[in-house]
Amino acid sequence: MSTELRKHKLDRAFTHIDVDGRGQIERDDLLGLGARLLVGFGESPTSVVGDRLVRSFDAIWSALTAELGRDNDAWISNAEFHAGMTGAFVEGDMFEPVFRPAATAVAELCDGDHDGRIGVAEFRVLLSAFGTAYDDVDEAFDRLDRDRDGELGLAELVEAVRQYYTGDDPHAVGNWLFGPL
Amino acid sequence: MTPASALTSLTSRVPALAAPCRMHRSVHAIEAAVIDWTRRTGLQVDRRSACHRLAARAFAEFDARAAALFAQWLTWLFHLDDLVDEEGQPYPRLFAGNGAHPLEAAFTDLWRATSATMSDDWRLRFATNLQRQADACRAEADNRASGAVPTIAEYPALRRGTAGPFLYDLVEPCLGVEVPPELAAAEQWQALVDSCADVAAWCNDLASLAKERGDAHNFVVVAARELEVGEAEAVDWVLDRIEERCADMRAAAKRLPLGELPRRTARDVSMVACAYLTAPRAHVDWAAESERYT
Repeated sequence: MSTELRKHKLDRAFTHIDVDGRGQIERDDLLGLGARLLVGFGESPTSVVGDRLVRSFDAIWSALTAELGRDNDAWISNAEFHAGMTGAFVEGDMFEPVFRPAATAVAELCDGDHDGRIGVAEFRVLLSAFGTAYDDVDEAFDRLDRDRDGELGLAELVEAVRQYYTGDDPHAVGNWLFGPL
Repeated sequence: MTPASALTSLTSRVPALAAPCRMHRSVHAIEAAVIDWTRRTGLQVDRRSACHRLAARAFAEFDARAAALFAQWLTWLFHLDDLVDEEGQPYPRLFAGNGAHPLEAAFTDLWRATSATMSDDWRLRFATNLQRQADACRAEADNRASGAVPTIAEYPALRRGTAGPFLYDLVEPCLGVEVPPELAAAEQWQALVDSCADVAAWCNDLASLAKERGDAHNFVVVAARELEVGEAEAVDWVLDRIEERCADMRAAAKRLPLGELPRRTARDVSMVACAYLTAPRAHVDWAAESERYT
């Protein structure tokens, strides 16, 4: 059951990158997601936060392809994506040095006023870049906002990212990161 | 503060310019492609400008062929600038030329390689912006002949024209995408293009001030004359304007209606927008390593 849950979440994560539904992705697709995020927030790739996001997304792709024994320019199928993500970030030890910095960069991008908090408006911009339907954003936000103060802390969002991409717990709030599964 | 150090100071002053552009990992292959193309088309190889490094920074995350094609267009533009600004020659006939001048032949070569996969809408946009540059260059030449100096209000549009507004159209064929015509014509998109172009052009004015001494077509000179201040104060004034325009860049990008576009289109136009947002810092980095203005 738990493995099925993670598989379901990674299937959706694959569609976040594979916007054409081709069934395979390349480095430009992941960097394209990064570009969509940056522009949504008006952030330049040459700001500190923007640069951090681009570099960390690039590092995720490198870790993924390295885990699969492929070069950086390779195309990756959905099955390979599952294998790479699981090998590098779930069973392997690459989450902390590679994936967490990317999650942190995304959280910092959402925190445009640098107050350490993310409101629902910023969260909507974030999820819009991933293709989450407008009506699902509020529900996702409410699930993640456990203390009901109308804001998410950066650490809360990063933990939700960890739970979504690597967790098996069916009760983890991070499963709601991109709306109902 | 000298104009050159003022340019460098922007990187600590403006958040959008804080991080250096990465250098394309194939920068040497890009340089070789530019030299090969330059010789093939009969233009002189210009190692001092090192325009391949500007393209390699602006397109660091993209395919090397994209960066090489953009670098070839930059090479062509620099030759055109030198012809018009320094030699005082008339703007060449490009679409209607007979290819007799190397610049005309080089244009024909680049146009063929660039436009093959692009729509008529894009071709019209490019041609319109090429004409804008020709018109702006003629206006500058007329100013030089009559001794006229543009006002602060007139200068940004004139400078946007002489900088080559078609360069921003070239990002699309280089990346193999196309901005939908209705978005390209939208106020939000134009605001993004214009603000990025202004920041890059005004940074260029700071970098080139020493070399262009005596020419009134520089924002520092225009500001000093109209505000009746010295060069140092005018440089500070231009820095303030650059900082304001960087805020405009951010605001314009945020206003793009990405959520109304199909997901693939939203990704494609985001890649183009990111290339625009990268252009100013790429310009700052390149100005520091190029000998074009020394």
